[in-house]
Amino acid sequence: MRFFSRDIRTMDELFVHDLRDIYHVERHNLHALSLFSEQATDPGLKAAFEHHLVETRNHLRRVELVFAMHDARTNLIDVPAIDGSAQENGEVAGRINDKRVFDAALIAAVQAVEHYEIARYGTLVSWCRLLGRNDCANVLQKNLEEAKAADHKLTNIAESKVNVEATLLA
Amino acid sequence: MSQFSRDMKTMDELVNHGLGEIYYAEQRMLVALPQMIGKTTSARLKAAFDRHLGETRNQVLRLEQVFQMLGAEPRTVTRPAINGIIMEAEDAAGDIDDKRVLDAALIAAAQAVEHYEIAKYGTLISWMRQLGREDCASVLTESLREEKAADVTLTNIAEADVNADAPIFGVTSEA
Repeated sequence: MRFFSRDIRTMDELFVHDLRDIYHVERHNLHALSLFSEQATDPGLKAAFEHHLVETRNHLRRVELVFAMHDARTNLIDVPAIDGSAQENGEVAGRINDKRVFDAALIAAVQAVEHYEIARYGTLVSWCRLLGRNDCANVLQKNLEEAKAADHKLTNIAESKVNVEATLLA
Repeated sequence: MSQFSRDMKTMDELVNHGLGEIYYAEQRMLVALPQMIGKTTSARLKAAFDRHLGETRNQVLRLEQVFQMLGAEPRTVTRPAINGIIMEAEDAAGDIDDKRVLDAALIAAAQAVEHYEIAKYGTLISWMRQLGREDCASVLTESLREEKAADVTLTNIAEADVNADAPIFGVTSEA
C-alpha cells in the first residue's frame, strides 16, 4: 500500500503531504469528539470534549487557511493511523460496560490522537520555518498549543476524577 | 474483527489491554527501526535510531517485567492505528527519491511513533498509580522518559541537520 500519490522530491511536497494528513485527522476528530461528548458520563469530561470540539473546528479553519496561504489544495488522503484509531474507538465503545471505565478509555483514545497531532503539528511548524514561511508556522503553532493544552486538561480530568472512580470498581 | 476477547469491566482489564497495545508497538519498532537505519544517510540520524533500537529492546523487557509483576502472561494486542503509523514510516523510502527529504520524512514518522508511545505510557502510568501499583508505574516511567528524550533528540537532528539540507523548492539536480 502506498500513502503517497506520486514521488515526493522536495520539502515543499512533503509539507503539503503532511498538511493533508493532519487535515484528514482533524476532520475525523470532529466526528469522534461529537460522538464522545455524547457518550461520556462525567460532566467535566463531557464539557472538555465539547470545548475541544469547538477548538477542532478552528483547527480545521486554520489548516484550510494554511492551504490557501501556501496555494495548495486540500486533497483528501488516506491516513491509516487515524482511520485505525476510529475503528479502535468504536470497538472500545461496544465492549466496555461500566461507564466510569468507559470514560477512562475515551480519555486514553483522545489523548492518543492529541499526541498524534502534537507530533504532526510540531513537524509542520518546524518545516514551515525552514521553508521561510513564518506566517504559516504561526497559524499552525496555535493548533499545536491547543492540542498540548487539551492533552494536559485530559490528564488532569483523568487523574483527579475519572480514573479514581473507575479504580474503585477494581 | 474484534480486538477484545471478552468484555472489559474493570480498570485491571483496561490496563492489561493497554499493556498489550504498547507491547505490540514496541515489537513492531524492533522490526521497523533497523529498516529505517538502513534507509537514512545522515550519520547523526543513524546513530539516534541505533540508540533508540537498543532502548526499544529494553522497553520490551520492561513490559514483560510489568506483565509478570501483574501476574499476567505477556500478550500483544494488534492495533490498526500503530500499524498505520509504522507502515507509513516503512513506506516513506519507497516514494522519496531525495535522501535528505527522505531523512526528514523518516524523522517525522519516527516522531509520530514516539508520540503514540508517550501517550500510551502516560496513560498506563496514570492508571497504575490509581491502582496502587507504584512499582509498575516506576518501571514504565523509565520507558516514558526514554521516549520523550528520543523525541527531543529527533527534533534537534531535524532542525540542525536534515531539514536545513533538504531541497526546498523544485527538484534538485541530484534527485
